[in-house]
Amino acid sequence: MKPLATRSPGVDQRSGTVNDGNRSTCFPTLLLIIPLLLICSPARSAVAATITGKAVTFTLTSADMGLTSAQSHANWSGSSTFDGGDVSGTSLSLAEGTTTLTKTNLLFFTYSDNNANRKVTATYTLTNPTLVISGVPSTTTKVTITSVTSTSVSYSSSTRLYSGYASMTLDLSNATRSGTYKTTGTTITINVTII
Amino acid sequence: MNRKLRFFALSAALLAAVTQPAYAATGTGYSVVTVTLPDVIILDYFTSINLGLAGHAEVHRQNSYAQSNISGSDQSIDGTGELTTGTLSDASLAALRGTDITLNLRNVWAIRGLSPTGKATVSVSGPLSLTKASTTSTIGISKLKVLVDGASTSSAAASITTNLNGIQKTDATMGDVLIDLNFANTSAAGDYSGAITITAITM
Repeated sequence: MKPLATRSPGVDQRSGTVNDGNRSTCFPTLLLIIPLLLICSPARSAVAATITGKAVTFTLTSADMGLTSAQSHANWSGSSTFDGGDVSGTSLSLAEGTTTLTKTNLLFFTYSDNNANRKVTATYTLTNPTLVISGVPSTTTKVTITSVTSTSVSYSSSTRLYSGYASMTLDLSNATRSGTYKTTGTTITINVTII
Repeated sequence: MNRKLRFFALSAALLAAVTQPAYAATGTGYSVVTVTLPDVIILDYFTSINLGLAGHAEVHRQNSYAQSNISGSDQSIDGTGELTTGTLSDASLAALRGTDITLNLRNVWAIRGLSPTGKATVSVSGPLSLTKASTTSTIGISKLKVLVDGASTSSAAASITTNLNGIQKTDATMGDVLIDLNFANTSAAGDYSGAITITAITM
């Protein structure tokens, strides 16, 4: 095995740069590379990321749950006698309501920058997925956030803001009351990478 | 070979500049989510309730009928024990003697949904009688009540309060309708109809 410091034609394993073993031909190449690095580097200046998490608020409708207020069924038929009493007839066949809802295109964060060429990516972490009505225990009623998925980041040249949008999926299967559900602590942590 | 190496060296340098990770920045934000759920009430009902009453027949035997004074010519026979409305036996069924009968139409409605209190009221209303087309014959209706299926009939009322347990069908509260029928003014067999209304309101 060759010592690492040995100069021979091929790749210098310490630096990853190329050495053809001839300093006289390598030198002009280095002269060419250095200006190129200088040209490329200023465009990649470090950024100080200030992320503004947005309050995500929305109202669902009964239509979101896939049901209308009156569900009609065809004939109920039963038979009785003149004695009266209980009469059993056709069973109601109930339609299932939608308890898993996904809201799309929700604004979760903004990031201010006058450079429109950043690559901005975001990941979302649920830190407190249970939403409750103030004063009502979660054992009685709750809405659960099951996932938040990044969908897009757009840039507005007029406001110089990057805006991060995501889709959020809710589980309403344990919701028994109407009203305003919110968390008592941080709900979603947004981690944004800017290059 | 050397020219190729120079080309690769140049490419590597450019690539290193472009993918330089040292310039990436990260930031963290937090979002609070607020979701408002509206009042939702879903009433399942039947557009038509067809109740068939079984036919009924009974025969009453009288003790005797006697005529003691036969003249041998045409005459009216009005013997002892002739049938009169006063001497007819009553029908064996109370319903046919004019007494109300109570029917419990089971599981003819269901409610589910969301309300601020998790409760709703369910009420029922209807006409005083069911009518038969082209006749004056009617079936009287009284004491229309709703009842949660399986609950004691003592909790039945024209309007009741019950729980809303959510929007899934397994959350539904099934309900009955109690109805008293009276046949005192019924003179014809056939189809009788009338509309009853069931109303559910969140509370």
